[in-house]
Amino acid sequence: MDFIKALEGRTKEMQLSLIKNKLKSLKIDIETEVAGETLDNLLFLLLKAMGLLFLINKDYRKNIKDFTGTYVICSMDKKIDVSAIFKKIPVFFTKIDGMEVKDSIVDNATTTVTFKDGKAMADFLLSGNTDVIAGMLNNQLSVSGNLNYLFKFVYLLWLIPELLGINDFKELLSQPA
Amino acid sequence: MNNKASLEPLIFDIARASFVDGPGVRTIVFFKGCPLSCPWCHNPESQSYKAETMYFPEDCIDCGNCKEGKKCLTRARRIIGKKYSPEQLVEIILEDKAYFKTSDGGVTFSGGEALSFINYLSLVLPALKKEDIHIAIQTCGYFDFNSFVSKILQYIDVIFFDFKIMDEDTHHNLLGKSNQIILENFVNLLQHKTSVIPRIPLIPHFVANKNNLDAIAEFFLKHKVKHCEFLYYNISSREKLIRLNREPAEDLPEKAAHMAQNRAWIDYFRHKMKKK
Amino acid sequence: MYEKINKVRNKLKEYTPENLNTKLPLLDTLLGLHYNAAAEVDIERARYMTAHFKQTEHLNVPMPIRRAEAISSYLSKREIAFHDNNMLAGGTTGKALGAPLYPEFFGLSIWPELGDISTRDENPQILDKNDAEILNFEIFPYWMEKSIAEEVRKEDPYRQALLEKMIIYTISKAATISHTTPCYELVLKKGIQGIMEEAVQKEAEYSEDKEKSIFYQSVRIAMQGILDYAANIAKEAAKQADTETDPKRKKNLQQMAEVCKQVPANPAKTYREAVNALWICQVCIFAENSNMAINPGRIDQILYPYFIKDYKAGDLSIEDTLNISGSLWLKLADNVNLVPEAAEKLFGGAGAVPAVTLGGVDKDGNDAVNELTYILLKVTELLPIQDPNVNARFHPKKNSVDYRNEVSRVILTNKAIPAFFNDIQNIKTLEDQGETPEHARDYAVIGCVELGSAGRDYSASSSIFMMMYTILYMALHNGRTTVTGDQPLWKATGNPEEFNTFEEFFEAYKEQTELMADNAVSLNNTYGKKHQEFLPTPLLSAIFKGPMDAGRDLIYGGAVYNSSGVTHIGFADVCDSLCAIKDICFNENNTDMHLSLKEFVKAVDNNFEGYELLEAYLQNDAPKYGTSDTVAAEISQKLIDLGYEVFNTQENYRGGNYRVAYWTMTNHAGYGSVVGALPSGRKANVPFSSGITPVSQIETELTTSLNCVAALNSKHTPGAYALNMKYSPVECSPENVDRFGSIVQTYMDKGGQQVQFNIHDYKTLKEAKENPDSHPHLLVRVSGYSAYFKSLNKAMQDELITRSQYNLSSGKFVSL
Repeated sequence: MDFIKALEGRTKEMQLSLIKNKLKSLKIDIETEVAGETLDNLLFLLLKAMGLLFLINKDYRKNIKDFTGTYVICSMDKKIDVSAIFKKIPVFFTKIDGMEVKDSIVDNATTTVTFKDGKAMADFLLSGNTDVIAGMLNNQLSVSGNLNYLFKFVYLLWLIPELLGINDFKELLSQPA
Repeated sequence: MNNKASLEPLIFDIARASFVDGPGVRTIVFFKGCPLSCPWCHNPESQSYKAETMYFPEDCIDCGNCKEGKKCLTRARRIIGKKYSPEQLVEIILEDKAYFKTSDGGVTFSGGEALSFINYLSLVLPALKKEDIHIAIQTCGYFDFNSFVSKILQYIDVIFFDFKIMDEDTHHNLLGKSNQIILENFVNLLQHKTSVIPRIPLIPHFVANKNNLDAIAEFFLKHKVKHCEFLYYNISSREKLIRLNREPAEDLPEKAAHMAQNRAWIDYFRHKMKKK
Repeated sequence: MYEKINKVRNKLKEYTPENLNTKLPLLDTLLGLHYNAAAEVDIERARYMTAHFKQTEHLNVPMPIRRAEAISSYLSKREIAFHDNNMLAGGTTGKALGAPLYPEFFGLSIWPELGDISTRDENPQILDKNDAEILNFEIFPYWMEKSIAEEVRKEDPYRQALLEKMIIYTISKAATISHTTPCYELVLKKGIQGIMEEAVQKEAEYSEDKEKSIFYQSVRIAMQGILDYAANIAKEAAKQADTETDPKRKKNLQQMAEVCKQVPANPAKTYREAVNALWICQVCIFAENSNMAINPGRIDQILYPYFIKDYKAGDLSIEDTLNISGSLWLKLADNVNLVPEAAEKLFGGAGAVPAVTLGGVDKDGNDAVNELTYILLKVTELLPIQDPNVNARFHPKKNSVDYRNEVSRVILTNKAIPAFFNDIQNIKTLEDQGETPEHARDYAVIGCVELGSAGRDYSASSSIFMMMYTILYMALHNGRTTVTGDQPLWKATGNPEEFNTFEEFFEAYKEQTELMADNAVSLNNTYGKKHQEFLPTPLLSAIFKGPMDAGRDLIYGGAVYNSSGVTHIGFADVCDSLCAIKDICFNENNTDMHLSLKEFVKAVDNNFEGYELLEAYLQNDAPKYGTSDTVAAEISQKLIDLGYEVFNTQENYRGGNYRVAYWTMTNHAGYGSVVGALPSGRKANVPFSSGITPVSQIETELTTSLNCVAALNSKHTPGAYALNMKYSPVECSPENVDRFGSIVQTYMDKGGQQVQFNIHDYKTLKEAKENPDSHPHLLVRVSGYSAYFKSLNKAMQDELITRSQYNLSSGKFVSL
């Protein structure tokens, strides 16, 4: 939210350009993270990007019109604690549909996804839906709460690479460090 | 004949729900041991009257059980040949009695050579006949005729009688025994009421050649035999021989004959039978 | 009678799969089109349903009426298409081969795949881009809080969460109201108009009784939807006929227009009308309930009067009958289930399984096989397609050997269908469940193998799936599971070292079974109550015996019989595991292999690594179900008795009981491929054995194997079971057909309920796996239904490949 707060008082054009710059640097951060070892931060970075994409991409924002889900994504080893709260965001001198990301766990989540660790989470993010079941059975991840919210969230998540100009997560993974 | 074997036979396989070797659904009992030694025998483990070990090294895990004289649990060493008391064998056969009844099937004693064990069979067959089981025998023809007639013929419904090589010398050289007794037995059997169906295994080169088939046809015509069946060469014997630590015969065909070729021989034979 | 039947049979001999293109070109063309059709997701129903529900959101309309209106609105507005020259009108969806999407059930699970469901590797289902947008923006958001699983979560989040662990129990009500046989006879005799008039009259009669009058009102609305749909078909067919230039197609369209003007509104007068009326009603039921195991039932009985009247009058030839019946077969195959990629692994390749039942005895116990039975068997032979699931009832004392052998011949020819059902045992079993002899004799097969009196029994036969693997795991691990953490899930029933005898251990197994059963029943009943609240079924209720008299929806127990079904996954593997535990841990006389239960569990948990000798012993020497072993015989019966004991007296939400069954669809392969090893010697991630079938690749005799299954007390398997046998192909000579039939009959004489076959050898199936295009339409029996081998997931393909194969010539088990 700090980044959004920092936009306050700037002109619309300035806000827009700051957001775009921030997304560019997030893209680099994501690529660096994927090339790195632990991947613990990948989700947080992706969510940050997701939140900003909602602000500047009208078509993407259309997906969350009046949407108010709250997601908690965490890991059993406590290295990942992220919340994503869908709500109206005050930018461009108005309030628009968006998402706030927190690096902590909030109460009253609609859906909570718990990964075993960062690797399990990365596997989920990078290998596609089929492995969710295997993941659940191997205790790599567990889900509680409304599954329909998770289905929607996964859909939104998988739109990101294209919007960021990354062809595919998998391709991203195979890039040299 | 082999008197010792006739007392205590080994059985190397019992096949149930078989569609061959007789009418309906059948149980086939395979005795171990045969007086002939056909090099093409597709059950080479049936030839010796003694128990043998077949080796499946791919299943061995080097557990050492065999060295300690314990049972091989991985089935890398499989003992071929098992004794059954007449009562045990009857019990196993009767397990499928209901299947025999619905299908007009029964039991077929095969081998090896079932008729090497006439005394043993004389303890088994009456019990089966009492239960109204259809009984068939599959034989190479080399057996003690008098003992057969006096002890078990009355229980038998059908006999499948193999015809292999007609030339006496070739028969003796290849199969280890003269075919005199075999042909005599066949002719003598025709005097009895029991149905006898001759069978010709179409072993390429050895059996399926013009001279030999001509001779069989001639023999059949002479003895007014009208109907016969054909069997085809089965190559599974090679692998089995290796597992038994035996050498496959050098001139054994490496491939099964093409069905078209088998049919051509059958046509040839039928043609010969009609001609005269 | 036989003389007349033989006359028809002689005529039928002219038709073979080889001459289909010359003798029955229509069916040949339709079959080709079916084989080449790609499955498409159809959202038309979801669109109309959602629109109606949105409009009526705050109107306070009672749910039965609101739902009836929604369904009616879809039926009266849906587009009418004629994709080909099929003689029947109407389609499950607007697509030639459609996967309808039911947002109130599990439709939202394809949300993550909206972008790529059309192109995924396994069984792609084509989704139009524009439709994907509609789903994403209009349909899915509306149902996020309202899908049935979410309604249940609000009431019982604990048990719903356990369901989502997937390997404990499954409640198929999360996805469907289904698995029953409607009473199409009612429609053929009364016409929808007749049923509607009855509803109007009763609505007036019960105007004081709010619940009843609402029910009758909802029936009236739903029936209007059916009438509108048929009228629209008639109109559209006539319109298209006017401009059609191809004379054949023009004539067919004109005839369809005439047929649909008559039926299903009025009683059927001709065979074609009767078949088309049945089909249109089947389609309309799919508007209300998901396309899973809604069964046409005993159509050789229901349709016979219409056939014989036309046939005798000379208005209908055998060729016509084959064309009309074949058209029905291909129509029944016009839909598949929508399957999200995540579920492919567990359920891939499943069809919609509409079950057709042929033969057997009639209500009075007499031979019911007639000319139409043989005609429909011929259709089954000529059209080797996944659906319908064709089942042949056989009464060894009442039906002829000729009939038995004709069914056998069809199986040996198309290598998979039909399945055989034993009338003597199954009728006894249903009587034991409280059905009258007349009703029990009139049973039809439901979905895979389940039994229910046709049109009277709303049996919801696939309600609960019990994972026997997890029960055993809990018994071996003091109540823990692999997916619910370090604490016992329900009860600590003891660590392995605490059991002194096998009986003590079995007691723990029993306790865990009871706990799982209680939890599964409780959750299923919650689902049932939510179905009552949110998913009333007035349309299906009207085409059923009971609801119209009782004034009560099926979902509220309006049917004559009201059971639920529970099936088990992993029977043979768990049975062999218990045998092994008894033999290795609690048998002093076993000198070949002895281990403490603690050590044994350790070996199993290590997937037998470092325990190769134990593994060999388990493979070759341990007692096994399917052999003549007496310990195995005893334990298999004990397990069957236990399942019956814990379920048969439990009450469901409609006042009926739970019927125990053993069939597994593709689940045994899917679940087996994701869980650990078992004491039977089955290694981790290997498919379980299917249905009630003994474990694959154990060396045993065909007859011994059949005898073991037949020996199980079938009164304790009232939901029936699937026994899968695999034979090497044999020459289809009359002698072999008779032998094949004899084996089936003897198995039945010994008490077997059901058996189905794959006549394929290892080699063919391996080839088909490696090179799918070499056998594009290879049809196999899975565990209660048929599927195209190509469409199955790898685990299921492997399970089919490794199934024990028997060589019918030699009678021997053929090892892989």
